[in-house]
Amino acid sequence: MKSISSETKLNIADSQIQGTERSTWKYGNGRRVAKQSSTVAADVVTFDGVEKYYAEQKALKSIHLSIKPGQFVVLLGPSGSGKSTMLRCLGGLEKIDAGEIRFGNTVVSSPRVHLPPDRRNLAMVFQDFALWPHMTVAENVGFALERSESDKRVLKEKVGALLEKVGLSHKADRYPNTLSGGEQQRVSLARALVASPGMILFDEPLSSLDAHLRERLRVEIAALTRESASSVLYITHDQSEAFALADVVGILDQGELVQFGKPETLYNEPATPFVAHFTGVASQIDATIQERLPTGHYRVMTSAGQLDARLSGSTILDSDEVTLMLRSAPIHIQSDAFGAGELKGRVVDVAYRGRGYDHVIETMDGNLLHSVFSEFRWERQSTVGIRIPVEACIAFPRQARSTEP
Amino acid sequence: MSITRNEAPVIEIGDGGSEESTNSKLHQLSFEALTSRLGRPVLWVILGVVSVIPTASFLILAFSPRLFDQGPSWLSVLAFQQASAGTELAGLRNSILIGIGASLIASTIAATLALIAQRTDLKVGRYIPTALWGVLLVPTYVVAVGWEEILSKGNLFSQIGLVNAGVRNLFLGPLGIVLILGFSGVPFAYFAMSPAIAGMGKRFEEAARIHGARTPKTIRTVAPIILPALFAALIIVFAEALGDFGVASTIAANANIPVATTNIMAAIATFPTNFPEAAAVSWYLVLILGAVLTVQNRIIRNRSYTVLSGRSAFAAKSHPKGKVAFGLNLFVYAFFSITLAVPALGAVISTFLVQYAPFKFSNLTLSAYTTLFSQQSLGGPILVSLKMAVINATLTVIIGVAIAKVLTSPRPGFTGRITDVILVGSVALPALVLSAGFIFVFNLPLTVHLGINIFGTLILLGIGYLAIALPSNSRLLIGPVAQLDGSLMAAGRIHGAGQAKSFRRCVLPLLAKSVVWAWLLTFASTFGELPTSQMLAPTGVRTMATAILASFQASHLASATAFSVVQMAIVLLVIVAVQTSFGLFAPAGWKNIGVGRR
Repeated sequence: MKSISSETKLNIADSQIQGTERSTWKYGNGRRVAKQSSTVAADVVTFDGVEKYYAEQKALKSIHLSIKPGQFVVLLGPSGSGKSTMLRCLGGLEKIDAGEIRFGNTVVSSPRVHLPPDRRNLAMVFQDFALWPHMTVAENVGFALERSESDKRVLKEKVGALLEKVGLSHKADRYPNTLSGGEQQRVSLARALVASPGMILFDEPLSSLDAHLRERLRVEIAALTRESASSVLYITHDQSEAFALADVVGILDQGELVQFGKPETLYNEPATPFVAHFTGVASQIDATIQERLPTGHYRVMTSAGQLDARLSGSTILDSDEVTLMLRSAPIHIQSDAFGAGELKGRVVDVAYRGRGYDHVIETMDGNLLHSVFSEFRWERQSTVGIRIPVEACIAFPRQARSTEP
Repeated sequence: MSITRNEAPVIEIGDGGSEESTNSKLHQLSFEALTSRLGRPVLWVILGVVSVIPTASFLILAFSPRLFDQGPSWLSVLAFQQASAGTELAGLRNSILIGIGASLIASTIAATLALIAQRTDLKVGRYIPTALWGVLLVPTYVVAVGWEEILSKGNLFSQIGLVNAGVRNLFLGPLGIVLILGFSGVPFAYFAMSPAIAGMGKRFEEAARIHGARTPKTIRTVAPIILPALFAALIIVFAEALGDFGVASTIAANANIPVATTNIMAAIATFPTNFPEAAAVSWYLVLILGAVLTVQNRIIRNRSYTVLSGRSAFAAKSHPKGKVAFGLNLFVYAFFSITLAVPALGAVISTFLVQYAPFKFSNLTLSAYTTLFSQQSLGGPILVSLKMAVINATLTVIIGVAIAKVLTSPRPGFTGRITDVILVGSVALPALVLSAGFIFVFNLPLTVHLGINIFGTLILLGIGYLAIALPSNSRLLIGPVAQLDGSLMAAGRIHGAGQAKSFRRCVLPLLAKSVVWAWLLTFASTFGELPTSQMLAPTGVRTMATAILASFQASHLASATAFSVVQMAIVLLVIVAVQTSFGLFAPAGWKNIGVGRR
């Protein structure tokens, strides 16, 4: 089994992932500029064994992570997994208890050093917007520029230009309470972008918005942040949001960074059952290995029938008892099951999704497979065959089901 | 695995910058780190000096007079025996009965007013909170003087037959005391209960209705949810009544009804002074309040009464019509007529009418005011009270905000919890006991020996005022400070503002309205403060309250009433001036706070 040690450094393994070039990032006192190395590969931010406790509870467990210039990093995890804590530690809103956080080569957080948040040259978009209700839209946005721009005329111009960009220039003199939720979050986005900070932090910025606004703002965030070339650390518990936005995704589980890589890698090669679950599985089925196939895959027997399965990444099996994680996308519904890789089942539920139908299917041994897509509608209670190709079937060493997020 | 934590002190890099400069600053403490480290100890010293030390010393004195050179025994219960007999015992009994009566009256009226304001769409409901602020700003002795004036023989009201001997004896006796204290307590009870009644939310009622409960059962089901608020209301009025000195030294004194506070005053102010006995009576007051708080805790412990969640929908308002609407309107008008209009009008009319003369135009006179203003001593009390009230209100609000911030911090720590206990204790402690503690502690040879020679100075009076105002004021500010979303401050920090600038620019303006009200409330209560002024004012210095009481005790009723009218006029003038200035000069955004969303 692939063991993910909490001490293992999870650097960005994919050599293809390269950030946009950014030559300098001012931090510390804005008047004095700390020159960053201009090489593309230089890490903007490094978490080196960072730990954080609340009372005696470990909120972060030896986090190692590097972010490259211009990179859009999303931390994904359920509530209580430590992603907000990580963000707040990076922002300087929380102090850390072990390890260090570096901006370039400079330590900004360690148990003995703490650079205050206002000296870190960051910006942040908050979940609840955090717009100051006594300031107008323009004043809210202009506030973030005050640290670097003393010329009021220039400041006004920059604020105006950015409000234009987010489509709110006509509401510059309005107060936040007169704006809709989406408009408020756009003001918050403008405030984060206006000073072209070295890094922008996003704290679940879309979670308090309704579905259609969410999608529109997600696109705006993706476009505007990439245009600004700032590095981004974005946290969310929504897998589709994470995959849509990220260059790199980090998955957190109980304060531990369990996998860090491109969305495609996480989806195709989940390092743990937890990661597989969090990135979407149709079902989890126990099975026993029967033989190793010439292709390198395994033929396994479940209580519902025979399937072919593959291992994820460098997972090592230490026994024949395995748990299968079934991805729903490659699964195909047909009229009957004819052999290996195909199971019989009964349609329990069907939901129309516009471009087709999502089905919930119960296999003969009682396991439920969720979100099985078909262009055609298979009626409730009808008996069907389910073809589960090897790419949909990922085997992990047998374990308790408590790993579900 | 055992968790080891690095306990080394964290060093804030104050002026980070280049890598070199960052590293070179590692061993320097920034201003920010310094203030965050010193803030709480400074608050502790302030609370210690203005509250804990005087009160604790005074209370210890009851057991050990010798410790403070006040008697021969190191450990004695003599003071408690004295405090448990005769007039002292009667005083305690009367105080408790008055407290119970007043708290029941206040809570009943306040609950009705809150229901009218929060749960009906009657127009009159909108004006209830403002009118209650009016009631809150009138000291009890001014109300008492007003009642004495209205009920006195030969005045306008007895001329038109509204007042006779029977009514006079009834209202200038126990019933009057309970009623005045009950009515004065209504604002406290209202502000304690109103948010709970408003926030109870229609979901609880709807859940009861949808599962088959009719109106009476719905009320029975939902009412216990406001139990903590009801207890808070009962206790705060009980504590206020127990510690009242205004009615005690006017109506109760005239009717020869002993109460605990006048007994404490008598033990300290009459020769030979008996500090231990006063301390023992104070002990009883503190113990009574402690017992009441314990009962409250026992009843509401282990039950959740959370009503204000992000999901709470505010209750739908009913539309009373016909007799019900008439009755509710009548109730509101009657209450405010009795508490505000009648005493105010009575006092004004009485001071404009020749004494004992029938109500005719020719009998109108300004003599009460000309006499008052011709007295050379008039300017003195006004100026002293004005100066002390402005200084005290300003200091109280500044320290109050700091304390509220400590108490609402997500991790208040040990010091935060201790501060909370001290403040809760101080709110319950009658002003008279605190003042007695001040007289006692700052009069001790040890204190004088230490060079702290402030007894009999305005500084001690100022500290006394601060001690009285700080606990209730900081608790008043806890609400608005707690409502501040932590992310507003964090947003300021992240976007480049230091701690001080973030607080000033991003948070303080949101508190501006509450701070202005807290300032005005402290100003008004200090301007007319009686017990502390009576006990701590330097010899020869008169404040507004002591001057009015002196006139009253010298039977110059018209003069005392005229003085009360002047006092109220000044307070109203200051409120209007401050609120108008705020309206005119505060930035638009500051006034925008609390305005609902589109």
